[in-house]
Amino acid sequence: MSTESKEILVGESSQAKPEKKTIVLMASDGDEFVVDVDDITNQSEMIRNLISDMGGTDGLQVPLLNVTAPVLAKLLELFNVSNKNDDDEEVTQKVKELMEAELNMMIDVLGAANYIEATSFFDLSCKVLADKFKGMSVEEVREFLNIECDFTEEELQQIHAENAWAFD
Amino acid sequence: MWEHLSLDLLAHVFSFLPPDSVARAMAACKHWFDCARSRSPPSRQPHWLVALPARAARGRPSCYAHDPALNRWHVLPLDLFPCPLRLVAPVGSSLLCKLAASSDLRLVLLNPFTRQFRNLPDLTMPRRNPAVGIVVRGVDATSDSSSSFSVIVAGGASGSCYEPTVEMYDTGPGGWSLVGPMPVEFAVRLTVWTPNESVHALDGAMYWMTSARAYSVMGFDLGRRAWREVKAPMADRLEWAALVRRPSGKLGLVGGDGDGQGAVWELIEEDKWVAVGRVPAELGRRFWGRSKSAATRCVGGEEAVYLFRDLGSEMLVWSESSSSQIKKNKEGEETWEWRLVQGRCCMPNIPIKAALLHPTLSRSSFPASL
Repeated sequence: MSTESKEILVGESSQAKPEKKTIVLMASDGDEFVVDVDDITNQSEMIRNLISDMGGTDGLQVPLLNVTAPVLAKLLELFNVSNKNDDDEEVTQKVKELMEAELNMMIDVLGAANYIEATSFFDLSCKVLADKFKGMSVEEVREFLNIECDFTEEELQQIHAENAWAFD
Repeated sequence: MWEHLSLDLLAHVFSFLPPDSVARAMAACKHWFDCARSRSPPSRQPHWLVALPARAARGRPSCYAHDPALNRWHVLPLDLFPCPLRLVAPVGSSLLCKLAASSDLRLVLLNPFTRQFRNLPDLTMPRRNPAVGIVVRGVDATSDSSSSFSVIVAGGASGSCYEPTVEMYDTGPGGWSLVGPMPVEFAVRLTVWTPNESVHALDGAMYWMTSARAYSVMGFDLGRRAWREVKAPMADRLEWAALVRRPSGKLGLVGGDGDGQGAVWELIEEDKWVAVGRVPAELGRRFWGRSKSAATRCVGGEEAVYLFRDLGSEMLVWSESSSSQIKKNKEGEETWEWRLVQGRCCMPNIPIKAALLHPTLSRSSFPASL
């Protein structure tokens, strides 16, 4: 009798405190990242849908063909900041810092976030970028992003003339 | 790498930019130009107030656009279109206008930002000063496109008579078709007193307000094709009033009396209005203290209500307060606040008719044919 009730108790307690479920994300170069299911489904719609289509998370490995290991590591680091904070202030700050320090990495992270449909993080990052060049002149935008102007002088004049109101 | 960023991704970044920034970004390189020209994801920016002169104005024809973030007016030349236009209503990111010189209604669709315009075909019968209403389909779904809409035209004068019929233009089949008769009394009132402002509410009806005092609201149920009159709140005391669509999709009415009071009501039942907002007394005193309240003009949408007098005049704006946005998400209730926006005396002091819309520089959102 006593052993039976003990077993039930154990069963109950393991139900109340389940071990954290994880899945594995595989970067394009084969590196594996073990991530908490709640943390990643909180961010990525693609993975959320995948888990529901597969009917569970057991031994799930998700290959991310377009995402290299350093980019995935950075993305997961930012997700972590986002998951830990109720408001977006902290993660916005981190994305800003990344933009200022490693612009190309930020673009790759943006692409990866778009790819795994991390909608709110993607929106937030796009807004950080947009805010950066909101007040910039076109020359400043080109310089900041290292864009080469491939318009002829004539074409440029035409564009300016059509949108003169935005340049005054 | 920036030159080659995918169009989707770049367009998404652009959707967070105000149109003047997009216009500048377009000049960065060809790839960016093509992106801004061809893509129009739903804008993440607040609406702009876009206005045309309400009467004949001196100088070259212009469209005026107000950037709410910087409280700055931009002047867009309208020399692309050969004759003066009067604003009727916004359609997606475009403006439905009528030819000022034609006494019979002739409509033109215009995007002053892309400098695109297109004439609508002539109505099935000539009408002077009819009521015009717009039904836009699927705007908030995938883009700010103005490519799918209907125009409802009711009443109007024809020869020496009133035209007691309704006709409709639809971008699907293209062209006008007669919808059916309407009560003569409604046709007369809409023709003589209509301010040409309409609201297509969630209940499936098009509403217009007649400006004769006492104000009253005419509703046309598009499904049942039935007309009804709705009494305006405080109808006998309103000095100025306009219809707006509420965030709930219900019909809203903004109006005020001659004593510096203003309020917003929402139509909740057949004939029942509830006040959902009132201009704070102190702001009302400051706004109406300097001029007659009857000169108050109003334009509103689901994200803001603007009260103003002329172009560049001080504006009283009712919108969601920026500090309440986070709170709203958590508590699920809207918190709007009134604020005064300083006037801009550098603008010509002319009467305007205004609309709220998301400006777009994308040519793809404009209908290829009408």
